[in-house]
Amino acid sequence: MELDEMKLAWQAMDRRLEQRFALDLAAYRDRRLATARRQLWPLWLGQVLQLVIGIALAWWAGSLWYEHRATLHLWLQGVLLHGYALMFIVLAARELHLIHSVDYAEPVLVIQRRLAQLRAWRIRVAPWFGIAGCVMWVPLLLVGVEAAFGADLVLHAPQVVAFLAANGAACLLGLLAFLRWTRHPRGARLAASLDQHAAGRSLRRAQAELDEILRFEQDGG
Amino acid sequence: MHRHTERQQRFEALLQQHRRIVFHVARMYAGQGDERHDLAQEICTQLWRAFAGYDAQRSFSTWMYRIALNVGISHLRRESGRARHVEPLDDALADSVAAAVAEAPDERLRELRALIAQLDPLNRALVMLYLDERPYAEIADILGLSESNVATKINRIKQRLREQMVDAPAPAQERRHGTR
Repeated sequence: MELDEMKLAWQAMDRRLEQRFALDLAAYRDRRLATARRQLWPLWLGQVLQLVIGIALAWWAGSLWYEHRATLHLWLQGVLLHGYALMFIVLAARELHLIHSVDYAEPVLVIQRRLAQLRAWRIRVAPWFGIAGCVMWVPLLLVGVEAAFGADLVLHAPQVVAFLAANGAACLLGLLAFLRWTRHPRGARLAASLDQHAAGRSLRRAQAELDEILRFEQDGG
Repeated sequence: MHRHTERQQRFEALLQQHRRIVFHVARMYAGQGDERHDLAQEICTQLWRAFAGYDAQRSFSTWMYRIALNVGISHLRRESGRARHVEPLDDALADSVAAAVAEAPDERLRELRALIAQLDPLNRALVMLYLDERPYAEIADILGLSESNVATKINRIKQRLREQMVDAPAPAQERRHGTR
């Protein structure tokens, strides 16, 4: 069947559909429905929470290093936590900006590319939280113990601090080695067995969408 | 308040006038029943949210197609992760339409369904706009392509169809009557 012949079938179906189906105009007016159905709503909410947590953490960490600016190790703990909080804030703000820049009234290729880029970026950024987390739990724990019990572990139990730091370093090195291994050809089997991992599969899907959009744009152009 | 009501009435009038766009996109990018209904509602919701930014100097159908297709394609990409098979046509509906219209036999609808199911989301949008008889310039504006690119792609799809028809088995009626 030629594409032109298909128009007849398509138009015939059209006429019957208009008779059979009515548009429920009331549904779009429901604000709760609009919010719940918004496709990027879960992502938006997650980033707003991340922003709020980041701001709260930054405020607390900032007051911490300022208060202890005469004591080097306490000041350093506060600065590290402050940096971690700023990472939360910057990444959340960037993602919120990307989400708000999605205007469905723009041409289809523009928006589909932007959505795929957003997805790919999120997935690439996710390991950075893991990497930072490998290290940041140490100052967070030290500050927490000091706040709760008034005990400065660096001064009074340096061997404990050394143990914690060694654990943090081992965690970081282990994660970096793992990420590097999965990119190596010998790690292909491991990478394939991790295919069930949501982040890896989502990234491949996001990248495949970008490739498809690029092919569609260039093919015949 | 009065202005909001006026805007709402204007929107509803335009939506009713162009409601077939919602039907076509929902049919193209969702499965049957509830999923198709949900997608249609989501399209309407996004249209309403975007209506405040609609420039009345521009074509409403172009604006509406862009939003509907963006919502539809995003929906299909989201659902494809769950490995669902999208049936663009309802069997019962296809049969009832075929029965009512002599120039659209079952074979044509089944071929239409098979063609659409093979296409990726972007080519599916292209075919849909072509079947809706949108001018090439409007298709290009909606999708964000050049007009020449649109023409080339449509010609390629037509060529692919012809090649498929050469390889396809004869339809049941023709086999029964021995016309092939």
